[in-house]
Amino acid sequence: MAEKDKPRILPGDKTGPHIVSYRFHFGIWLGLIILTAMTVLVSVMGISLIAFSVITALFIASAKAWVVASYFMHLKWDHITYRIMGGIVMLLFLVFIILTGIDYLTR
Amino acid sequence: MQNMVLSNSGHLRDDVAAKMGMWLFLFTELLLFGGLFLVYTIYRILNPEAFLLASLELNVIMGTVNTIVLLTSSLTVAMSITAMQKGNIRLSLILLYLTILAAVIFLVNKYFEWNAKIDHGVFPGMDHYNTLEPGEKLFFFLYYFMTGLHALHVIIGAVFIGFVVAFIRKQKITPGRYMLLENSGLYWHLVDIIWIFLFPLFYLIH
Repeated sequence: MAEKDKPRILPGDKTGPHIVSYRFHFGIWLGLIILTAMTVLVSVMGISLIAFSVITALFIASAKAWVVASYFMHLKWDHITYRIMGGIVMLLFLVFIILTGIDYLTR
Repeated sequence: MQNMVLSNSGHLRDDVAAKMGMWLFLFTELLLFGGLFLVYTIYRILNPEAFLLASLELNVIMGTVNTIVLLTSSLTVAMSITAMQKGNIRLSLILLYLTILAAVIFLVNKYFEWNAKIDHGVFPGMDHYNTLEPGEKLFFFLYYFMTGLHALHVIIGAVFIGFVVAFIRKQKITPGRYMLLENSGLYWHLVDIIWIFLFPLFYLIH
């Protein structure tokens, strides 16, 4: 490998990328499809075990988004800095939600 | 380029920083759509009956098909990175072509879905739309704006992946240097994540 092609290694980096197998990716996809099928069935068949409210929908969607971010987007294996940054942004967004919610609920 | 490099680094690239830049951009996208989701949630709480009535008009089958198409395209782009890491450039390219194909299928599906609504006069300013309740108008306005903005992101993502394909063919992206491929994958997964939230909010809550 030529010198210019060598990636910069930071302290705490693992040497070389973590290669996720095709099989593992396929498993993650299958899980996401099953979660989608479950949400659609619960909604269409009107199974009222759990009220399919905005909160339930957001909860299941958040779980799916977390799976995509951790495994498809490699956050689980990448440098920890990305996870910390993501966490800060999520907290920031949570503050937006809470402030807006308080504003509307106390009018 | 040579004299722009720090004398003590000895390297011309910084993969961690390249990816960090992409993540910073994705965070701004997240806040853009996050604000829209907040608008939707507040108006849903304020107009529960109208939103329920309007959401029953949407085609759940179309929405489900598009969800599966996008999830599958996320799989192909993730596998494409694995193929590149393993040095299988041909497979990596094939998987990227499949991702672009999925983007096209998604958009064609979306076209038919919008078309059916517009044929019934349900579009801001059209006759049937003007007779709707204010809450239903809000729902359809948000529906067109949010799915439209998302569709724009699908187009941008497909073009981005198209550039990556060209770079791989020119050997500017290689198994030793594929950060652009990873970043296009990150963008594509974000488009998928946004749809993961759009789908239940508009189609499924009954």
